[in-house]
Amino acid sequence: MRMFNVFVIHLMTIFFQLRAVAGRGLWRVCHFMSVRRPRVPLAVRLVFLQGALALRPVAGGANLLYPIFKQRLLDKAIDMDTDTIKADLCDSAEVTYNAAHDDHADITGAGIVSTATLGTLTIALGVFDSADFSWTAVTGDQSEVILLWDDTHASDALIAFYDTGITGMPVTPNGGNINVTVNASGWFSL
Amino acid sequence: MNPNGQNQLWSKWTTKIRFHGKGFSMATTKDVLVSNYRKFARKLFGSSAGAFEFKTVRENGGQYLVFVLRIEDLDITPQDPAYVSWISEQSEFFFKHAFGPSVVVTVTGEIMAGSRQDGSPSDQWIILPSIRDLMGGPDANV
Repeated sequence: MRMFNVFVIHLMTIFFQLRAVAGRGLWRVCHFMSVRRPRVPLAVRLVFLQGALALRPVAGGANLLYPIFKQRLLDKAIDMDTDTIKADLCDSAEVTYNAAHDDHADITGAGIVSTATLGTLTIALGVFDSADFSWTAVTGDQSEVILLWDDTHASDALIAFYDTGITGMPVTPNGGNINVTVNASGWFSL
Repeated sequence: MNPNGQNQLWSKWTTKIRFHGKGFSMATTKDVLVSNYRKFARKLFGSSAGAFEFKTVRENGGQYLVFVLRIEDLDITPQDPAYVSWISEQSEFFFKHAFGPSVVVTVTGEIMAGSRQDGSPSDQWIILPSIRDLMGGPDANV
């Protein structure tokens, strides 16, 4: 009886292996029959991937996380879903990206047109998201930049700079509300 | 697309459906649900029914289905309570017919860009991109 069981198990194993091979298609069967593709070592493939990423043109170019933000995040100085996170609407004539900027005080006050506090902050699988929000009754210069910063952090840490690919920008404040729809993929993902 | 041009009225319609109690059935797939809602929205708002989003949300201990429509049409007026009420009634009828009488349907309409026709300045609308920060590589925009 035991021998019979072993025999049945062998038969089933062979059946499933054949079915798996058939399911892979003809080229896979050829591959199975030792028509082999050249193999590139993993290290070489990683170098190519890194090079491709570095050479890849960045669409639009300048939506960036501040380097100091990454450091502070790693240092547990920023908690993205419990801190008070704010978004500034800014005039690009006075507010430009500078990797050396680390605090909100580095941004000149005159360039900030309006500020709003974000609600319903979430972090999930490396994606930071919030509810849509509005800047209300906005007046001031034509604006092209959105700045994300942490108001809870002791030095009001800068988080991210957006000036590219924003639908509806530049926006000229007219005293009314400016409604913002956050991207379906969140503010940023790490 | 510039949503802030003159003579445009962009509105956002959010329909939240909460499954409440036991008097509901959900014997359908997401694809069928989305396809049926698209047809319904096209009839409700006319051919202008535009960008569409569907998600499930867990809030206050309950599970919600959320449909979001963004529409550009001067005749679709979320600032008019009678119009919003009519949209709510139609949506409630549709979803109760689909899921059963105990679902709770809430519809909200808001202006994203354009005039509220109450003398206040027009709203303006911007849509953000997302940053994808790749391991060791440059930041990329999605």
